[in-house]
Amino acid sequence: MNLEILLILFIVAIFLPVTAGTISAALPQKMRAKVFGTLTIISGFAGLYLSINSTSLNPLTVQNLSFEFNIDNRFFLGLNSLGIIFFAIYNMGLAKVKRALEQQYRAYYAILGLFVSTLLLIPTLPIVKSLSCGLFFMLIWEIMSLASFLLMIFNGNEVRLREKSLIYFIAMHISAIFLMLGIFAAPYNSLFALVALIAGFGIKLGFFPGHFYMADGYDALPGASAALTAGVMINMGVYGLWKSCLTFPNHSVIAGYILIIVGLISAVYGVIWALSQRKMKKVLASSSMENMGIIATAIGIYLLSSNETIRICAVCGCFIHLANHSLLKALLFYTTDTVKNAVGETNLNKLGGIAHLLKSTMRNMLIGSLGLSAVPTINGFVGKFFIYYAALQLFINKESTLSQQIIGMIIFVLLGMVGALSLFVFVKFYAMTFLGASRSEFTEIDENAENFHTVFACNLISFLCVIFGIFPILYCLIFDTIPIKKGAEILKTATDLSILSISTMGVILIVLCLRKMLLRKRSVVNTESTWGCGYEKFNPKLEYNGDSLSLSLLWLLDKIFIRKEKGIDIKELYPQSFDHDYATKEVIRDGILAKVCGYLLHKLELLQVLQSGVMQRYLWISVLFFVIVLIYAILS
Amino acid sequence: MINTLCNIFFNILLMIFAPLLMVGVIKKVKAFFARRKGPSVLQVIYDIRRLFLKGEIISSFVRMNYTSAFALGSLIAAGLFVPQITGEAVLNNFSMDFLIFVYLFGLSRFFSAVNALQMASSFEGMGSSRELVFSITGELTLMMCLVSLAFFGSSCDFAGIFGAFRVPSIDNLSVGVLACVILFVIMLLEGCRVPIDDPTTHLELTMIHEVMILDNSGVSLAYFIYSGMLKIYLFSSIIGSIILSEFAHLSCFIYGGLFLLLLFLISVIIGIIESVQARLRMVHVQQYILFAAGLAVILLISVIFVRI
Amino acid sequence: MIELVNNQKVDIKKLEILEYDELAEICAKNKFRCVNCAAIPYETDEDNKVKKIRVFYVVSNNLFYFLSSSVLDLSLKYNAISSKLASWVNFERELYENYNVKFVNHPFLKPIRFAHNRAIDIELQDYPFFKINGEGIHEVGVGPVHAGVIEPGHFRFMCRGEKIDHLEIQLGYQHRGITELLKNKSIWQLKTLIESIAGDSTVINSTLYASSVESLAQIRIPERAAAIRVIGIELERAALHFSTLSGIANDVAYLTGAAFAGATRTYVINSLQSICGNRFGHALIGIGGVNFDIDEKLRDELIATLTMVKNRAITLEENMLNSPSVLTRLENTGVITNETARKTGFTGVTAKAAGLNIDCRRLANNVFYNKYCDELFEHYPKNGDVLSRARQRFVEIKYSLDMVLDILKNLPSGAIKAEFDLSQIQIPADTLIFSFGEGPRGENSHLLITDNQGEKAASYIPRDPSFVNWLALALSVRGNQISDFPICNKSFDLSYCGSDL
Repeated sequence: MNLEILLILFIVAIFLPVTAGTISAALPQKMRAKVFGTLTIISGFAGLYLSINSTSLNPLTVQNLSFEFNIDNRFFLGLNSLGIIFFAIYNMGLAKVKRALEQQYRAYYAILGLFVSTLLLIPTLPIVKSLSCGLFFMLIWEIMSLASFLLMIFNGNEVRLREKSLIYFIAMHISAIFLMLGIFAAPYNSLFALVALIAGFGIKLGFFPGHFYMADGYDALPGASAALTAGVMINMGVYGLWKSCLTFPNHSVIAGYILIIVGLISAVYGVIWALSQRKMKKVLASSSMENMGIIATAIGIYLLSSNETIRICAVCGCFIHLANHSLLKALLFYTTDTVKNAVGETNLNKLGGIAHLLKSTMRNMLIGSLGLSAVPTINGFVGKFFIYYAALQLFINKESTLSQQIIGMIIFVLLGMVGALSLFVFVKFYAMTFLGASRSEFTEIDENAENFHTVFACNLISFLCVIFGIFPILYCLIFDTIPIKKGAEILKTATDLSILSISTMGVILIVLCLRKMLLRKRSVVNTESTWGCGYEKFNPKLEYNGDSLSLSLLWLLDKIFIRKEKGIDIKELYPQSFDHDYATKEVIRDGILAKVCGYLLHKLELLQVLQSGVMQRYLWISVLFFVIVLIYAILS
Repeated sequence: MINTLCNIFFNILLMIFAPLLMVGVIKKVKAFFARRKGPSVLQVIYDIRRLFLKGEIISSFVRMNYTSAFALGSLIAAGLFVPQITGEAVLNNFSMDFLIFVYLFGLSRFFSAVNALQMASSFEGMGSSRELVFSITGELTLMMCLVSLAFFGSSCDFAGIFGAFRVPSIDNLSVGVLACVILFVIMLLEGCRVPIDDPTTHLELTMIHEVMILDNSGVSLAYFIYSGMLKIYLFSSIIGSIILSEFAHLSCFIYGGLFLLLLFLISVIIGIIESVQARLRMVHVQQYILFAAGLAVILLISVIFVRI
Repeated sequence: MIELVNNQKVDIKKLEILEYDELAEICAKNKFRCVNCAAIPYETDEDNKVKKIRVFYVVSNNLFYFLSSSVLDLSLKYNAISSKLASWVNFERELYENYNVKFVNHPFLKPIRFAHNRAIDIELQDYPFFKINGEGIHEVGVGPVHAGVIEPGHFRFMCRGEKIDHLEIQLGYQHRGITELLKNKSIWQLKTLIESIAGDSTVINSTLYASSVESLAQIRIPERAAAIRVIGIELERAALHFSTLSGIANDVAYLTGAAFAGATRTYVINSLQSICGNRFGHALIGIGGVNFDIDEKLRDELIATLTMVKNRAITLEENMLNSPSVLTRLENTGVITNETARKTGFTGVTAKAAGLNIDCRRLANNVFYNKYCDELFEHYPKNGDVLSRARQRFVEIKYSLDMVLDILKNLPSGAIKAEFDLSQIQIPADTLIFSFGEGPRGENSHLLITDNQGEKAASYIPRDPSFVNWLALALSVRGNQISDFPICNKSFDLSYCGSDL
């Protein structure tokens, strides 16, 4: 393609969202979402076109900065663009929704525009190529993090918003410190730089122990932006990880081991943490931690092995799973936001029984839950399948070393367990939200929450998920990074998966039709209530709730995940009243970090001497400072 | 061509009738131990037929009428990948079909758990929570067992795994026996038999699977009951294929006959266990599955040492 | 307070009336548990509405029984004795339900059986269950219709996951208004109604009724009749224990044990049938003695059968209580501590398994029981769990069968019924009579108060031990897994209809 057209598209893709943001900030509220949406969709399509067609574009160099369009850059650019398009469509539907409070603020759109621009810019930036490139990357990265932090301000109704957003802010900057260390150390000590970069990007992705902010952070973001953050911004962490690992090829093996171990720990911890959460967005954030762990494991397998098939499988698995996660997580966040807009509740213990209100949302959330539980026929299975294949090949292959075999086996087995756990999490997530009887009274149900735009965005994502599940080969059409066609075995696997999906759907269809045929001539009564053993009065407490569902696993692990706050056992024969509650514990934040911060605060109290509040003392300190500077200037 | 058609026909025929007959045999064995005559072996077929002829009463809280069909359909799809009476699966030569088998079970479990949770009953919620928790350790054990078999057979699919047992040797025998024991325990877990769950109990507070279908009736109930039986049959097929892989070279009639005999033997063993053993306390069920997991770890270590 | 022995008559006109607070103080000081309680109208106003009631309390300190009486004004407030002594809770609840007595500081003032003629205005489905505040708590409601043919009752659990935090039992589904029906007929005509209170406590209830009337009418029953009565009571006790053990075995899926215990019970109740023609002992007991005799042939048959039954019980105990899979279900499940049992006044197997050695047969002053008093309390580790209760039942089966065999071998000769002329007998008016005995479930006691003509009962309360013991089930499941609830329930095997009357 013509170089100039591609350059123009690139500039459009980067600068259009910012201008869209500023323009919509200036417009009245009715037009804001539509204008911003349309302009952002245009820039998204520009990015998408760029990602598909810029095979011939060499890295651009502008002064000291360079912008790359290699095969992996284009993948991330394409994925981000897709996510941004969906976000724009969804956001257009929020204009009339009463509970979407962030729509009232002009600044929200301005910051959103900036955020989207950075998301389209980062996939083209190299990280460790030169110091100025690295610093430019850090600049854009910091703008991105700050923008996502600032978006939290507009989530006015959230409880303890300040605490949650500050913890996110601090975590982002700890990550930034590690990244800076990595970038500066890169020319000197490559191993240290690599570890620092992994740590920095790892905090962004939520690797254990850098995950402590994730649940709170994502809960603090307003609904649609949370989808953008979890679906798109987290990909940038993977982009950074991938690029850093490729830049230091002589440390591949160590990096591989680190990523696999950290990835597996994060996956297992993340999914159990997801089980212990009560609010929907926290469940999704913890689940992101789990999926990022799985992706890290896949990258680790790629780095570790030297066998061509295994490497191709691992790359396929990693990127396909990333694409799937991006789509599915965004879908789940959008549906969560719709539920919150409709009934105003996101606590799983208080929801239930809203299926008749939100039919499309229920269907979309079902597809999203099925996808993230990684069951066949939806695309979530495809990525995991390739990772399993890579791990199994690592274990079975006669050329692998003993340590590789053991690692491969451990990966396979632990991924299996994580799969069963994530099924548990998403059954709970889906069933507690929509099914059963309502566990609390819903006041002010907003009918507008499910309007054309919101439903269209979710339907589009669901459609893509199902299509990718049935025909995994389509991945290479959109993202030619994914080397499905490169190996004969891999191609066969992809066709096998198609046959699997089609045959499963076929069998299910046959069984469904059989049931319909059998019931055509018989009576189907739908008004009986659930059997309550003959007791005449039903109350919503008589139904299972999310906490009890998780407690069947968590009572074994309660030292790690549960912080009992009050009411353990009833002691009296005839208790008059009894309260019970527990809070979810986060092992790092409430354990190590709390102790460290407590210790620091205690020690910092010694500095209270300086904070006397007396103006004269402050003046004397400033005078002292000037004198020292003066002496230093004279002496040097 | 004729071969594949015969393959498909016999596999599907057996997949429809064998689970029902196996459960009939189990009931007969239990009756024999209690010195009773017991129901006829075909009684289960009559029961399912009776349920098909009925209409349905659906709870007013139900929004997803189709969960039973999805649960059964995924299990039948899983059965398409398992080598059965003819020694070959309907859809064979798939890489990693044992993983697909496990994940299709997962799909079925998703829908049966969702079916239980949509009824707004604390009994059914209890059942689904127990089922999902036990499936975690169950799947861990099953994955360990299957991955060690895959390593032993140096292959990624069922045909390759069973092919490794063709030549009788001490290694094959020990690995095979251990794998069969683990698969048997997992079969008891998935099919919900004693000592994990008592299928004849009337106490809802102690049930796992039966309580999840309390509010289903008619065709849906028939589908769920049949799913439970189908799980037992599919695991028995795998156990049977491991044991009978030595005889794979014999004529297909002899192999088929031996396969049916083995199914009968497995039903009898399940019946004996149900009559003789008491059902475990709920907290001890998890420990029981971990015992199987321990065996699987031993299996893993032993195959690694065998092949080195 | 006056001391009572079994079947003692008291003239209520001469009984001292205490102030309720004084009564409370005496009971609290001596830690008396309430055994039975009855109330009769004391003062009515112009519209025949009751203004004051006279309550009679029979209390015990597990060595002796005492009777006291008080008058309650329905418009005044009284400090509930239950605030100090937990064993009085249900009795004051009953007074509250029947007469709307305004108790203050009562820890559990709720309807107890939704009596047809209750004075409080509440419906069955509006029973105020105790609720734990917490969003993670869910409730499980079991009953009234249960799978498996058992009586109706509603159990409301507060659970966290699988662990039970609290259980509340709501009964009242089996209420038939028996206490009102017992006032409608002459005292001599109440036997059929008494036998129908609870099918598995027929013999003990009819025995206590007959003893009450015989004491009022000053009839002495012959020795042979007293012996056959004891045989009936003990056979009934053994039958109930076998049924409970069969239920426990069934619930742990130990099917051989369940079938064996069930078959053994059939032998026992068939023996009862061979004596009186009815497997539960209906029509066995008559006022003045028993209605059926045991001749030589029947006696030999009974000795053979019951010896076989005893051997079967020993075999069952050896197999069931030594099987590891059964033991792990029964051990440390559903524990009732000794202290709890003492505070709440449990009786019967519940109390004995917790280490509290109370048995009415020691105090009943029956010549046939006096021989065996010391053997009643065998020593084995008693920590109040399901295993201890099962073991206690085996102990009681063996004791009962030993006793019956001994009596059969040494059956006193003579008539089976005392002769008396109905027209010559005058039942004293305004008399209270208290009879107690050890029924299959614990301490059964009948409190009969004749009216002012001596013809009908002004109040007749046939108290079943389950009335107090239901609390044991609610306390024993706390902290246990919900899947262990059926076995806890079976280990107590309490009577719904006996408590609901």
